[in-house]
Amino acid sequence: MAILETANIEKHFGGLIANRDISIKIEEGAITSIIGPNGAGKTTLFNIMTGLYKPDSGRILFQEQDITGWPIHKIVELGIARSFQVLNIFNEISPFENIRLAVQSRKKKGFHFLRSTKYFDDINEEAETVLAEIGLASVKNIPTKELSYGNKRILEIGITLASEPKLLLMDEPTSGLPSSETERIKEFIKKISERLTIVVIEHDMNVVLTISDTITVLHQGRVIAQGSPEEIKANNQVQEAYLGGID
Amino acid sequence: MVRYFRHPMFITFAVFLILPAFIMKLGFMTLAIEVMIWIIFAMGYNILLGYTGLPSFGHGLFFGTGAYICGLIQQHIIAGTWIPILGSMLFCGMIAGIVGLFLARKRGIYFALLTIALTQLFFFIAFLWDGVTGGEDGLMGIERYALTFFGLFSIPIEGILSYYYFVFVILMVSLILLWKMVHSPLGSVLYATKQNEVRAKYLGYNSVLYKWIALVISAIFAGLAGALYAMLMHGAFANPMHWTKSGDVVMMVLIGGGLTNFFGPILGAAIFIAIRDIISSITEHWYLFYGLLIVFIILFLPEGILGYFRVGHASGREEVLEEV
Amino acid sequence: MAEFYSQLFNGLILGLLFAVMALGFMLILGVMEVINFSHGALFALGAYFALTLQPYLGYWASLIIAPLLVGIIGLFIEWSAVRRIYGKDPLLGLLMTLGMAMAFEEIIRIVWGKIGYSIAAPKFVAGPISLGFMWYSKYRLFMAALALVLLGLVWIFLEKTPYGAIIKAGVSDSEMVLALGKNLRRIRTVVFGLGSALAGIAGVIAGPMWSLKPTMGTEVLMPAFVIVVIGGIGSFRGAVIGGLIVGLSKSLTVLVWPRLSDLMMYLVLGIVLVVRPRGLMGEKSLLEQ
Repeated sequence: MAILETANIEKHFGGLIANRDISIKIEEGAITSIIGPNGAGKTTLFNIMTGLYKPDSGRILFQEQDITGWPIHKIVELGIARSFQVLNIFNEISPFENIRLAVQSRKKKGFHFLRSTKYFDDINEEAETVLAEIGLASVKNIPTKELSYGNKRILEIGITLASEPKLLLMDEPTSGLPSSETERIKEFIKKISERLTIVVIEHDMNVVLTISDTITVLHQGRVIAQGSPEEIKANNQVQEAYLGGID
Repeated sequence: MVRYFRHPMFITFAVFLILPAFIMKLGFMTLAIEVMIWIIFAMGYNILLGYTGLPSFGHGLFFGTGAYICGLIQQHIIAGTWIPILGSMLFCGMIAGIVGLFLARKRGIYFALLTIALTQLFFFIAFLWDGVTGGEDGLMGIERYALTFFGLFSIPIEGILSYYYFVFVILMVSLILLWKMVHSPLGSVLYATKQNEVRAKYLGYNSVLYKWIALVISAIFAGLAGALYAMLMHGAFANPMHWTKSGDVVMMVLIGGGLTNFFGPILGAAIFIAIRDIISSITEHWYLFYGLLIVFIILFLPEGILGYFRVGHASGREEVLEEV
Repeated sequence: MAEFYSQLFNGLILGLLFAVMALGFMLILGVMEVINFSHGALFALGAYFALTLQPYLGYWASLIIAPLLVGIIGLFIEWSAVRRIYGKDPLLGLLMTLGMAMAFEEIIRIVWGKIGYSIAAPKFVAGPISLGFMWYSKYRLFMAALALVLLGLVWIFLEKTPYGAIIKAGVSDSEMVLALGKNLRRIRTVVFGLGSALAGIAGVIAGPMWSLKPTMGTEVLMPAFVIVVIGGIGSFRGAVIGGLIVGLSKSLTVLVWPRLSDLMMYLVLGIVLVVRPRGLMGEKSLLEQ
């Protein structure tokens, strides 16, 4: 069953066509990778799926509900979380606070204004649990900006996990990481994929081919191929547009 | 227990509690009350500026409106103290709520531009609508009526000392409320919105609504401060709403280091008013020195005094909290 | 009816002058993302410099030299202070230039005193002229001509010179300008100086129409401000149209309800913001969001 479905998504920026006629289905429980050369419209598609951009035309369905044009926070409430290609975390507060904010949002406690956050035991305990799971418990109280780059990447994934999404969209989770760290992220993605659906934009073909159940290839704003890793590897059009060529 | 006494909040209360003993005879009481009122204003404003990151340059609008509403309620509805003060807070909260529908979607320099235009609009309304506001002369005859508690007993606050302690109590209540707010879930979301609004949205927070709330809260405290100021001065004037005065509260927050510390505005307001009073008693050209002082502070001390000495965590949350 | 035409002309001419003011303000805002509160003070300085220079140099020379001096002051404040806050919290720029505005205003008070002055219009445009349907001040028509020439020069600068292309890019996309690297510093200094000189020359031109007083800068800043928001940040046409709207709204209100003439532009601003939040001619820029 498809958890997320896009129907004929179109998006233009001035003269530039970022997405054209994109209709894809994201299967529940699977890991789907979206690949394609730079400028193929991958991140734009994520932005549209999550409400950051509105599509010029086309619809987005999440669990068969039309969410086109919804504000981000409403879409997130339904159970979609997202990580970014460029780190997107709260730098001025601790990793614990980063995670706690995510849990707090899910529990809809953001409007309490007279009780200190430290007395919300359920939120704090869950934040601790997430920190333990992502292995950042030992650095949870240092300023986030002092974390290593790899740990910041992990923290961002932790934030998204703390929202307990049904669907997680990851935009190049391994970008800028050395290969040892890439391995760590890869294992982590596999582990969490047991409990949620994942869509990942990724450049590292080693990662893509080992973790994906399905691969979608975008080129110049269009879907040019879709299939299992084997099928994609064998696809001539993909070879031409992406694997062998331009990028 | 000893640790409580070292807490900045406790120190602030202690200082203002015993201050009259030292300054009463010197004739600085009005000045001291003014400092407390500006602390309330600046601390409330800092919820918007320091914690939510919205650079309003038009908060004089709420301060000035608070003063007028207090006087108008006294003169047209009820000759009391509580109702006019609460009415001022409510009215300012409502104005902020209305303009916030528009402003909360903005940020950065554009937000600042719009708040400046807005405060000018209100300045001219107050200035020109003299039938209601007294125009250039101001709205005079605002009284400090005795406080009554459900008709059971009443406390006069007309005297300068009793008014001092009245404002002192309101200051305490305000600071405790703001402290709790800053450390509450709401405060944590506001600060998150300041740091990274996109991420806050992607955690599921309706950041526009939160920014709107911050604006309303800061306006309510500005209205409170304005009402107290009107009672102190026995009048309400359009002047605080003029854009050239709107920088005052911003400077207070900045001088003290409010962008990085909860208690910054306390120090900032005290220093600001002291400097203004000293320079203006020395020279009639105090604007020159004040202007240059601002330039130098921005150049050499942009994080304020507490920021310079690295007091407090960047957020003003957490670390100060651990001490208690 | 003559009253109406006369106010219509007043409004249009005032609008052109405001547009010159606003353009300088907008260039600085667009390229540096600094709201220059001292822009009004620079306007006042222009007028006062002309007041002092004219007896010695005559009208035409002071028309050139007074704005140049203001431009040099602009270069100096950019070099000594403003450049240090680029890219930082917008509030710092606001406060810093507000401090400068206060200091300049007080300096004017110290040097020229609190009393108002009036500058006589130059002889060749003194007195009224008959336009057939009414008599009108020659000097004001001359002002309109000067303002139009200035607007034309700014337009040529923006549209026909390489500097202009870069500045326009900066107004809509400061990242593009950042790509210029080292040149950026020079461009910013030039723009600040140019913007200041525009304020200065507007002051010189306005001198004979208004009485000179220390607070004139404070009073003239807000129209520039409102024009930029009405017209849209970063738009030349917006500044001119906004200028005319503000000028006309001020002068035509005088006919109906003189007391409201200062208030009117804010009401217009309110309406524009509700109908078209980014201003009449504005494009979505980094400043919004």
